[in-house]
Amino acid sequence: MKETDQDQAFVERAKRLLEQGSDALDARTASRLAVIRRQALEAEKPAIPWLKPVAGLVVTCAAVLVVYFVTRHPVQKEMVADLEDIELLSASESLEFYDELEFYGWLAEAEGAG
Amino acid sequence: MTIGKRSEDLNQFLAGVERRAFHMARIATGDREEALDIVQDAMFKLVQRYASKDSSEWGPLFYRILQHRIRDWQRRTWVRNRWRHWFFREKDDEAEDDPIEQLPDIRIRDCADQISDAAAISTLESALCALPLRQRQAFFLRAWEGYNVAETAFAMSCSEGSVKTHYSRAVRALRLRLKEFAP
Repeated sequence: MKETDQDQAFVERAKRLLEQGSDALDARTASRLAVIRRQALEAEKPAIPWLKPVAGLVVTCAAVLVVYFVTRHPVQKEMVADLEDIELLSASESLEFYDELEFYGWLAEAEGAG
Repeated sequence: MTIGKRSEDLNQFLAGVERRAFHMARIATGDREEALDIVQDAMFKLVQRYASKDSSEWGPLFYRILQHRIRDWQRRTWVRNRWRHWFFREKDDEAEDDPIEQLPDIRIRDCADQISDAAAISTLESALCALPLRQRQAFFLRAWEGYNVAETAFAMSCSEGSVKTHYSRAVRALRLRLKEFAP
């Protein structure tokens, strides 16, 4: 619908009245609005400028530590294997004893049966 | 743009729109405190999310946020009223299209009690209270803020065609209610 001249005149008058009503705002409300505006603007300020770089550094360090411990895990397994070897090597029995271990087991079973 | 300069520009912008925004919210809600809460939400959201935008975009963005807040408030009120109707088993007249957007404001008398004593202003604001939400939004943005159809459509999150329809219906309804205002 095309806006007629009468519509336009009506709208202009309504606009003037609304402006008057807006200008006649009581002091208490105007003060509250000013406080709200100030609080909103304060919320814009960046919280702590150095926080992001520090947070990034902390995350990176944590990631490095995680990777370090994960890759270290197989090494620990190797160390355990090494310790078993040391126990074997340091045993008082000779190496031939371990080679014949199966035979000694059979012998023990045969004597038990007899 | 430096932060200090931007803050100053934002301050000027908000100072320029806060009274009109409050007025729109108060006419929509009929309650001063509710209106202040709505304006506060709109200001905070604009500053926190859109302060970095070009200052020419702040107006439509601010009113878009404001209109969403008002719409949310009206939806909550509508739901609350529905529950009340349901509990008291009252029959309600449902609007044809979107029941929320077409809902006439039921707080005409309350609203009029709280607004200016000036008879003409009071009459106009009462008539605005009685408009459906979308018509009132279109009227405020087009007539009061002076936004063009595209800006109003952005602020109202609807098509330009809808803006034209809502605005023309609002003007027609207001002229019918306010015959004494006729030139």
